[in-house]
Amino acid sequence: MVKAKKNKALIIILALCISALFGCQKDSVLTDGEGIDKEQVFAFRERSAVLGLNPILNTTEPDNDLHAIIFETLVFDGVDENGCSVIKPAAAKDWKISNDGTVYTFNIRENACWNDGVPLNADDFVFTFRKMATPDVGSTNAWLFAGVIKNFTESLYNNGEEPKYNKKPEDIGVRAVNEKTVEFTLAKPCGYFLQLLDSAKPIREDKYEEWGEEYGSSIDKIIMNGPFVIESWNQNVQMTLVKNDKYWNAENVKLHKIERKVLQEASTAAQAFINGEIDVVTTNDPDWQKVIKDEGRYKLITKSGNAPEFLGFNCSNKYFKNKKIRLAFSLSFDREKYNEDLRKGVDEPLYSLLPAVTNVGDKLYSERVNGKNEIIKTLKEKYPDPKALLIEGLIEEGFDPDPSKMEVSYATRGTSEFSKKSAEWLLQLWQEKLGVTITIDMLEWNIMWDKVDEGDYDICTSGWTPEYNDPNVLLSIYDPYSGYFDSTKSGWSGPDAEKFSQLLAQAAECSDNQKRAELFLQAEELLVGTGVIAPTYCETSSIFLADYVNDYYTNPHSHIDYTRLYTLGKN
Amino acid sequence: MLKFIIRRILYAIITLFLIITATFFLIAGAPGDPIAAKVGQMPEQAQEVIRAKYGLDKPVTQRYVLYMKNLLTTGDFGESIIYTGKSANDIIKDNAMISAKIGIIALALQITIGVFLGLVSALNREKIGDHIIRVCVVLAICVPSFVFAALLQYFVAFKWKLAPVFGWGELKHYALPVMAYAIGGIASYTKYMRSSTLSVIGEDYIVTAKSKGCKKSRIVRKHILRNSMIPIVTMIGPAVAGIFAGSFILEKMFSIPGLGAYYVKAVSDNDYTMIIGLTIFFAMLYVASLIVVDILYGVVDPRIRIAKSEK
Amino acid sequence: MNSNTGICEDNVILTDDMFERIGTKGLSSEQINKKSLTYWGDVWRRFKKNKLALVGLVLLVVVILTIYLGPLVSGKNYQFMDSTAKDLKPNSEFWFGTDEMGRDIFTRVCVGGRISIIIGLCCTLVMFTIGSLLGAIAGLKGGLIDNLIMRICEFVGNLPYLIIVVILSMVMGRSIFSLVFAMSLTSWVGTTRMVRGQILQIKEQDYVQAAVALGANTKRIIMKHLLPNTLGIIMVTITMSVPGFIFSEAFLSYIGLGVRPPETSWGALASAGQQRLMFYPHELFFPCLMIVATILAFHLIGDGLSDALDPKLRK
Repeated sequence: MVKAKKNKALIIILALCISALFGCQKDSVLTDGEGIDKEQVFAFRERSAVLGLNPILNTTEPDNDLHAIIFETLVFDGVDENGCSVIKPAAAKDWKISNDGTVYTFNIRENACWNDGVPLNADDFVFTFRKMATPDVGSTNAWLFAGVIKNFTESLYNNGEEPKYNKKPEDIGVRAVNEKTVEFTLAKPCGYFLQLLDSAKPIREDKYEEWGEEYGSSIDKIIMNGPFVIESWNQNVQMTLVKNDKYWNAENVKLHKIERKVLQEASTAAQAFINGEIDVVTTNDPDWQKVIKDEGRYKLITKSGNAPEFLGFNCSNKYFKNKKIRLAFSLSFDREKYNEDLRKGVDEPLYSLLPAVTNVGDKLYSERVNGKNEIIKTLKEKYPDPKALLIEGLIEEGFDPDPSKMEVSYATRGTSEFSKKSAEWLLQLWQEKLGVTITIDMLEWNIMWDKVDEGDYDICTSGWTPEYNDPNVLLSIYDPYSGYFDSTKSGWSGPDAEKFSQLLAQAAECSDNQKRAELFLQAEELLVGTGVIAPTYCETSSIFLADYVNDYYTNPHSHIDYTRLYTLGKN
Repeated sequence: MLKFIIRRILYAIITLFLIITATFFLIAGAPGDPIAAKVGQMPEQAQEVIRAKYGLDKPVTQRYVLYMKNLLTTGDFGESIIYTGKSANDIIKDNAMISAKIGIIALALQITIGVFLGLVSALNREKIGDHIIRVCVVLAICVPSFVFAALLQYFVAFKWKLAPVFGWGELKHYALPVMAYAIGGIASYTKYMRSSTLSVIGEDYIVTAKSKGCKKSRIVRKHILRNSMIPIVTMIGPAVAGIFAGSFILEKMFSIPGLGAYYVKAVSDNDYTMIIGLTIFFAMLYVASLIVVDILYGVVDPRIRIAKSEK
Repeated sequence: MNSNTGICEDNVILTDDMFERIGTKGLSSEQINKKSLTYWGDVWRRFKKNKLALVGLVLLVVVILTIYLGPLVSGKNYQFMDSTAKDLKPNSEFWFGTDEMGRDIFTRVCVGGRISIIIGLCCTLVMFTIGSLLGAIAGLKGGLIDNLIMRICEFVGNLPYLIIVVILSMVMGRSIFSLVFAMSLTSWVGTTRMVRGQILQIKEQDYVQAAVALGANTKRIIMKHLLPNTLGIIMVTITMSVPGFIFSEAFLSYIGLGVRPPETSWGALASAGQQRLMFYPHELFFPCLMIVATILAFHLIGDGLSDALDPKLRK
């Protein structure tokens, strides 16, 4: 196993985040291997169906989770015995990183092959990345590599119009040195490149030419190289995976079969777990938890989340262009009560945009800044009366100081029961604390995003799943120039926004993690401290695992490693 | 008769064309980005690449012409945007049968039980049997099917373990959804049948038949049943088309992979190829079932002469 | 014989003033002794006789009184969330218990009921008016007009319902009005078909043929023959469609397209309660109870009406 240590000798530029060492949680389940069941079957539940098997076109979360089982790229971002993320060699047996951190050379295993026995070669990776960089293909994970791999941006955005995007897919910095060696040249050093690489699963040229657009649309039209392959697929019901005998490490894979069941309703899933139809279930509902606990025979794993939820205020709105008004809304939001009333009291109330598990380098962000990132808490002490703050703001902007005359609408993200009741909760909260009566706009989530795109909202509710473990991902979504919530969407511009952008740029160029953490804190003080967004909560999941399941390790950043998992005492 | 059918089919084609056109422009005007689910957290520039791939950067009219050309020449509804790589035709083909299996069983139960109960109820008007049936009908109609399904799941499956809570594939999985699906329909058919039978009983020809000493069983079979079936026949048309649509809530609750779930997902994600594909599919079924109903009218009720009424 | 002297037998003397002249009043066999009943008067008479229908009427009045007066009596706000009173079982304070957010279910059921009943009635009214009008025209006129109306039915009936609802809720905003509009936009198709089918059937009946042969004008045929004969089935359609619309609203609420929160409706309450059924059945039970009571009332009334309206069932 090539551990991060070995690489450190080579990486001189910031070891930005081999997030491998992050967010270790000692709550995973340990077992000793006294032997295993003869029949190794593991069943789990997902809320959504897998949409497709093409790894460069189907990249929604359910797809990605499945692709991590049926495909294997050069490295695997998995979870170790201690619940820590670790970048493990996968199809590549080892790799070298050049001294300046811009050239990665991977040596592919001699015995790595596709499930039809054809060897996995460097050309497969070259083909995959070239396809991704081709605009017509419309690859949905390609953008992750824009600006990372050399000439990738120039090829992906080449529509023949803008002269600065003038490269062809053949020009990107991926090449086969020999049959079993592939080399990536980066545009600039990227500390999280290995993690990023995990999200690019290979496709095979001959089959891609043969099947074209239908690649991965059914189990007859897919070629896999992961530890498990799909045996049957009934889209909205179940997918059955079996051990791949051609897998290079097949002898160490213990499970024979994995059943992935689609169960939308949480209560159905809890019942399925109790009936033994699935072996693991995630539920935060105290009532179901009690039933499961009464049945006994379970292990409980608590998994912290890494994806913050927040409210976004449209800073070009006539009210929310004022910092005090924004802050009044943010500070009056009672995060503990929200957690109690709507999240069963199990989630993490957020006083900073960055959830507790976020790392900077090998240390937690909150540790590095001594908890100063809990900006909302500090501000609450500074402004104990949000209503007074609101009225101040209203007067500043020349409005009627009576908050009940304000007309503010709140856009939900989706139309589920939860969206509805949390909106109703907010309505009452702001009515009580600020005297403002909001209007609730129940919007389908894609319509809500449309509105956000057009900057046509007052307050929106949003969340973000970081692509890798570093404050940069989460903060940069609000970069006024390049972020997802750029200034047209967030309405945030002016000196604060400028400074925010500069701080992020400084942090990106800085190699000292402590310094970076401090830069991030300054940036966060601008973003959260002026109420552009109001962090709300971060989901914590309670995972109930049947007690016969062993070596199931999970954390918020990485994939579950099904090659280790086994059952003992099932049935 | 043949002329009538041909003419109806011709009309049907025009109707279909209008429906497709209207749907296409409705969807184009509908809010919500079809590729939103795909592009997720992507930056704007990367989104444009995806948008261009699906031709969404082109004006609506140009897309319409392209779509119609493709549809007419190949009969292809187009590739689903959400289910990348799958054509809408395949998705419909694969999943319609699942909805249909439950729907057909449920519909058969609904009609046979409904007609039978309605007849019994009407023939025993104001007697104890009638009262019992009517009370049951009212109760059945008053309970929404999802409530009924939840009760079945809770008691039959969860508490008494007589059937699986959810799932699909084996015969036992049919029990609860079919029951939940059928119950409301049984009640409706019973009610309609009762009401229409009652009005038929009062007809002169029944009185005549009775006074001529015709046997009761013969009157029921030859006169009452046949004549009172007319409103039922009207209901069957749309119901047949409806069985393919499935019931979204029930399919969701029982984890049945029918078309209902696809339809709602397509609408909420604005997956226009899927929506139009499904619309065409349902419209074709519906129009076809209406033609059959019109023909059936003549079969059940000889007094309606189709050719004449169509003049 | 002199009538003035009378008959003198048993010493009884019959005098003139012992007699009264009654004349022929009341004896004419040509004259009707009861006040003539109009068609509608007869309907009302027969409806009153139907005990169940009256029960239905009373039930409906009770439901309507409850939903309008209930919140005044309970003195609670349907929106108010009390985080210390979540998921309570029915008790003296909260008659129907509280929901997940600590709101009084009784008050919510009342307020939600107003919206559901308004939606049910409005949609039915629109559906009934458009549907029976078009159906009657199609059935009566036949030919080209019939054909045209039937094609329009096919067209409208096939427009994707959900998309229309989504678009309308975006264009018109989420309100009861847009919901009613969206739901009744496509609903009349069924009524049109039903009425047309009935008319086609009745048109061929002997008594109509006879009326036509006797030279009755169209208006008279419609008013005296077609309308009374079709009303029965239309009434059934109406009573069935009020619950139908209440359920449609529930379906829309279920997939998140119902009324705009914090407003609520029975559908919204039931679909919220359905998810909590396993542990808090009362959260589903009470909204359903009210739905069942209302629908029951409509059914009993509808049944009563359909019997009362059917000329063939006159006793």
